[in-house]
Amino acid sequence: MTALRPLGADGRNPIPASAGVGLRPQHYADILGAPSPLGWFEVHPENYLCAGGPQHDALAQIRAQYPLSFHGVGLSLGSEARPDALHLARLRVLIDRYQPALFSEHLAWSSHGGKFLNDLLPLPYTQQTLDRFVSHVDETQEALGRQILIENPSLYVQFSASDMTEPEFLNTLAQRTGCGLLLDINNAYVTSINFARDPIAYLAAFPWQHVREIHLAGHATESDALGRPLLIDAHDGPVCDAVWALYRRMVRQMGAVPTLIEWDQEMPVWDALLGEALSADRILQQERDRAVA
Amino acid sequence: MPSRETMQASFAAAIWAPERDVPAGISPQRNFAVYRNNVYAGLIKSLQARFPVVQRLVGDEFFARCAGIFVERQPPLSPVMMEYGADFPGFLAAFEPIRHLPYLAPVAELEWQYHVAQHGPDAQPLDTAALATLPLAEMDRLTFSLHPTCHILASPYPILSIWRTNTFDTVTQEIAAGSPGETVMLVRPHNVVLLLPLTDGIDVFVTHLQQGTALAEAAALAQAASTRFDLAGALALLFRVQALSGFHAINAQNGNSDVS
Repeated sequence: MTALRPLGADGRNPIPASAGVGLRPQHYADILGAPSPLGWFEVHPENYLCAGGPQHDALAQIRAQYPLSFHGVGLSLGSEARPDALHLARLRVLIDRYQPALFSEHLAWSSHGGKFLNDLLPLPYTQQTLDRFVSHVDETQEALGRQILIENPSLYVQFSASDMTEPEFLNTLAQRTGCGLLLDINNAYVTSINFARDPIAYLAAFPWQHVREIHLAGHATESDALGRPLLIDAHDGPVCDAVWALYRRMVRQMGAVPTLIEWDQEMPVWDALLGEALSADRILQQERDRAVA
Repeated sequence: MPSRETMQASFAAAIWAPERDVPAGISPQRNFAVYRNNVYAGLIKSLQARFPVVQRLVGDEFFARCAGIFVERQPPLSPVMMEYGADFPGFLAAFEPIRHLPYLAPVAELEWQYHVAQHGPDAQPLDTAALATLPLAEMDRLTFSLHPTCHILASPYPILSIWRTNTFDTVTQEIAAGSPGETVMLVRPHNVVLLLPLTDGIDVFVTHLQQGTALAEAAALAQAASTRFDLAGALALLFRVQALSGFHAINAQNGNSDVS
């Protein structure tokens, strides 16, 4: 395996340990129209795999002013099949063009038999699935020429075949591949509540030494056929109080980490999204001050 | 669970075919529906975003059912969702329940081409100063490159009128049955896709220019198609919307070519 280029090692705009938001076309004009207090933006690279047009125009202008993170949704690293070589090659071209400081993907699969399901589907956590995921991450880091981060998913079902926990799986993955982790605290919360577990215990077991980015998002609260709470990772509203509390706890433990607000359904006006990001910045600052005091 | 089928094969099959049993080995089984809903809702939503005029024409509920059937029959084959939906107009054209609405598929094709133009390659407009320096004698033999997003769509239905009123008007204008068909040129010279009706032979003219026919010959063919063809007006239109991105002059004396 070749040596991986560490985060931001191109010396250009590494992601600051402050809040960013997921970039959506609805907000291009707001972001480009006035200086923003935000430190960075994140995009789904799949939304920019086109030849030209207004999206590239806006992204190039934003990239000239802010560091970017790419958050892939198409590699399907948890698939039984190897990552799609064409997709990797297209991502590499986009990475070379925009030089994002981070590239992340998911502990999930989304393609099978040549068909793309456009959702983050779950996998059992076993030695076999771990070995396969490791080789897919190795192959991806090789093809993209850099370290990637892997995100913990929101889960609605679990597998009887699983014989290790998700934090154990991610820890070994990071150790074996040199990848970093993206800790999605909303996902940790959603999964824990859906399986009637304690989110604090999940986070206590999470291999935080490998975490290079945090995601925060809103979720929808439904109930299942038996009337039990069922949380859906909907990204359709503000971050809930319980997730903010878990976030503060993790920042206190880990120190400041680049933190992204994901809100991509029922899109808010720009000021509302900015407000969420500034809440994360406030917590980062309070915990910095507390650590110094 | 059949032993030969992998977990992902049975999981994926149960998502695409709702009549299939929920795969074994997962719990709670009742939550499998969340994934099925997410997959269908997400793909239908992407089609809604791509074909808003078709959705307005048939109504939200019918569109969702239609799109759901399309998703089941022709799921995406690429993880790049902006490439999904190219086959939707063709699906609509063959979809029995809307056989009485034959303009839907052509309108869907216009919406798809709008999307293609939106994300197509960028190009500089033609250098008019360089063009002006050419001797008049060479004009007849000029050929042009059109902007790479330039696309011409001809339909027996008034697709642009339908698209416009359903895109911009709160209360749509009525378009009489039997209204003449329209030929539309789409082009995105900068960041905005322009849609222009092409009439009076201009469609023939532009189509030939796009195929590399020299100026004089393209004009003659357009003239033959419509006696109302006006070359000066046609060129003025193409310059105004920056549909031309380059020209290729052939020197009448020595056959050398010059590209700009």
